[in-house]
Amino acid sequence: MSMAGEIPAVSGDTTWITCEPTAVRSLGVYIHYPFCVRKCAYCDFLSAPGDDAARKAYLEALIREIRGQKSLFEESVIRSVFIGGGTPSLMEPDEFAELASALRGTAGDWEADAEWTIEANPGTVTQDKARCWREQGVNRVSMGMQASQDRLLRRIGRIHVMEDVRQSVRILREAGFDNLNLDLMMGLPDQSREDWQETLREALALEPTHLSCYSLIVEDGTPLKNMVESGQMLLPDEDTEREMYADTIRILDAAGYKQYEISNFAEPGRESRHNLSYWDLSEYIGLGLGASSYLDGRRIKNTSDLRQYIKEEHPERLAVVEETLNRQDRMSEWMFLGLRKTAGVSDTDFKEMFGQSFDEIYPEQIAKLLWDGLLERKAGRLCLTRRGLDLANIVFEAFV
Amino acid sequence: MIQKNIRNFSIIAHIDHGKSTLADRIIEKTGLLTQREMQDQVLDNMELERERGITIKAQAVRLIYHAKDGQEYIFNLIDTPGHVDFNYEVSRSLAACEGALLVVDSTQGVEAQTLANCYLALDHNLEILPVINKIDLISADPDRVKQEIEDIIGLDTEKAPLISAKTGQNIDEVLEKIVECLPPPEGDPDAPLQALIFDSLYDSYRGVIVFIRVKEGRIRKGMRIRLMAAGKEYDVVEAGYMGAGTLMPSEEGLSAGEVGYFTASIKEVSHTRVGDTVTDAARPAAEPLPGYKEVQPMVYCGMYPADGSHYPDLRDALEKLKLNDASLHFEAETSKALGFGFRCGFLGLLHMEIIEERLDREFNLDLITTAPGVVYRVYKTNGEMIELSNPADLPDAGEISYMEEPMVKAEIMLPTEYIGTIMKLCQDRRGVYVSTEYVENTRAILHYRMPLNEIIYDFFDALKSRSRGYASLDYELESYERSSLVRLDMLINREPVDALSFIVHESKAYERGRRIAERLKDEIPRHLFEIPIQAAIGGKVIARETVKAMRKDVLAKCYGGDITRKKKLLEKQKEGKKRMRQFGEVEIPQAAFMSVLKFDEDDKT
Repeated sequence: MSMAGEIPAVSGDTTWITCEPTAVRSLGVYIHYPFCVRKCAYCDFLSAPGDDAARKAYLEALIREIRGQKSLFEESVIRSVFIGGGTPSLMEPDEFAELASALRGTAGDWEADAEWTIEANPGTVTQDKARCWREQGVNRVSMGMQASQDRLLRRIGRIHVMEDVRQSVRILREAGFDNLNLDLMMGLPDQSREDWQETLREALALEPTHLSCYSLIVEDGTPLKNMVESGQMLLPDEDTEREMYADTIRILDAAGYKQYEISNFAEPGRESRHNLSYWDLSEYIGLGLGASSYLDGRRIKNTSDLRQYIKEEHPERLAVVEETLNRQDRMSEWMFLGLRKTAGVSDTDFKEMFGQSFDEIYPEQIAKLLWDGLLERKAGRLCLTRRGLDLANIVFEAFV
Repeated sequence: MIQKNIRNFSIIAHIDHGKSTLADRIIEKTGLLTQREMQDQVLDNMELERERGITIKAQAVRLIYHAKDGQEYIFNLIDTPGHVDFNYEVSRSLAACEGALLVVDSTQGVEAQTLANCYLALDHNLEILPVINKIDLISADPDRVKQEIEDIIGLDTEKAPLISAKTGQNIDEVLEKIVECLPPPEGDPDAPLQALIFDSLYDSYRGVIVFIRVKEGRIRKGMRIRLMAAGKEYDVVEAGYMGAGTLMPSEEGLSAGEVGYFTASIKEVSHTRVGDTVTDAARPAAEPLPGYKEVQPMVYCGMYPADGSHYPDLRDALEKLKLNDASLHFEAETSKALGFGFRCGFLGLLHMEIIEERLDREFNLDLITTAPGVVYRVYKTNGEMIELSNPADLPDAGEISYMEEPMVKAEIMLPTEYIGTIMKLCQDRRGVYVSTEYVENTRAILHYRMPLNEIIYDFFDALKSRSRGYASLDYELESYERSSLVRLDMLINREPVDALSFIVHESKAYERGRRIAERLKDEIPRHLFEIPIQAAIGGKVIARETVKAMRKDVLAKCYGGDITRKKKLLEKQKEGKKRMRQFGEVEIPQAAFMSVLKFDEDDKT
């Protein structure tokens, strides 16, 4: 691959200027809260129940890490904050206030329409908490509803029932939240297509602004995996699961939610800014146990060892640089992350970024995927076809 | 050394009955090795052999024993391979001995293989000393086993030592009995040289090391010798004995009755065939020793590097293995599906598996092997006969007058309760019943004539699984017989895949074709389009399956911002696809080629 055109090689002079020095960096912030009431059967995220002492110590360490990033925050403008887990809604109002004020006290500027999301699980939301979130600046709540049938919720080890979801949404509305996401899961054990359609209808009845509909992935090492392998749980077959996905697109579209990514749907203008930053190769910093960052072209990951995380006095020692992206890596990621979005990738943007057309860089891959009917061109953009949404990995692999 | 103080013997035993352990104890007790030098199993020097518990190449070791009569004896312990594939090699090792120890596991009893080797030993007029092993185990029943040896083989067990090779119990008695019961060699040291080759080994410094038993005359350094069957002459560079793992050259050389080795800058083991006679070029023996035969491969398969660019590595590896294994045959061939590879010939299935494993382990080669087949004789309408080892070479039906397949004489030893089940199995595999021999109340030997291609397909596994491991098998090639054979072709996406074709009896074709189609359906991953899989004979489709088009391949989850993890998953998936063979538009995983070889038993029950 030719590097010509990107970097002017000046003989005898090692001071190259590759781009204008950015005055301010636009930053996404992810904060991980690893504790939960009980681990769900399918969950392979870094999470576990924790006692009061562990929670307290973790919060201290987290605040220490946030403050340790002062210089980064000072040169940045915050675009979005996402507090995920685990179950961040487990935090008591005073705990949350402490965390939020540490963040606000450390952060420099915020974009005017900055998005601040907290992940909440039904059954853990109270009026006090909701009011506290609101006061501290949170403007979006993402609720793990998953399914509307209590028998399915029990089956996958959730702690809540459908009535808790309704109750939590009521509380959030009363506290003034108008921007709500609901997480739903299809392909659950014993879930029928009718169950799924009902789940979608029940979710819509709660009038969220955004819906994330994920396919269940049976991950190694989860109790679910054992139960599926031993035959204790029966998953819907692939055809049924794909019909559920097709139902999702159809039903949500009819209800005015536009699909903007493989698993994400939103009312116009309510697409999650934080989610988009992952797919747009925007910069973000991950704070907390096992959190990932993308900064200065490097993919960085914090330790996954809770004890180490809590003990470490020097937050800078928590992180390991997993890879430093070169031009080729960045092009590859630009393609396979960007193509997750239904809008796809724009050749104009690609040229601006890399100085060449993606058709020059990936001629064979693109031709084959167009031929196979997995990609299509729309007004200078390349995007997944409807079939490409089902078979997206084949598309992504071509660019990896 | 005077002849009357030499004992040349082998140990014969069924796998796992303790042959190698007893050999270790004998070597230890004769004091030739210090404790430190002792590896667990000295004779089994290849890692692979140790893991499988099988001795592949015969070797010999010279031991010094101070007997209770105050005299010093030389024991030449000649190891024998313990598997039916190496029957001929066993027979040559036995021909180098006067006696044999028959080791029988006192918890198990006599097995078909023990019996076969025992008969071989009796055929060579060897004196057999039974040794009852594993008496330290709770389940040991030495009296029953002794009775069995007397009833089945007809050997006197009165003098049989009861031992535990593992704990070393009663090994001294074995040593004394060797002196007492096994005869010393005979032969005239002044007669013209006649030495039997029972093994050879390629060494990159010395050339081939030839293991011999001198029957008549003597051999020494500087002598010009002739290999009578090979018709080659060489000058002896070195002659001597085998110590434990080392060669000990001797100035006097070897004379009648002795066992040892010689080297003569020989470049290929194929010149020093097992069973050939070494004689003095200046004063040759009138005739060679009896029993030489040229070993022909019985089983063939195609071997291809999984990664086509490793073809030269595979060629080099096969050439290296061939240096030490005269019975391995190979020639280059090309498959439309698999590219460049080799058609390889083996003594039997085990021999094939050993070569496969060595290529994997010692040469790190990832291989695709095609279904093993036997050599068929194809008689053409124009009177010509061809020996067919590659199904792809089968002439058009119009040119074939008739075909013949190899038949073997099979002996299956088993507990009587399994007779019904195993007779059914033999019948399923086109066996022709010959007779049943009851060896005692609870055991019998079934005699069958069976097509070799049924045996190599999955007979061993089926036999073991249906008798819970109790039945054992021995077979030897008997004759060629006219048979209704057809070539079964597998079509993937309407294209025949040559590497999946094989020759099968007409009566089996439908069932086999259906099953392979089912397996291929499971092994071939879903593609973007639907893939028909068909089994066909001469263009006529007899079975069909379909690999449905892929509907889902997407990582829906977002893993927080952990893009690295996501990328790794994609890379892993992509890597998996690289290991597949592109055949037209279809990617066929390596496992699909192997699935043709898989054991049928699961489907049957």
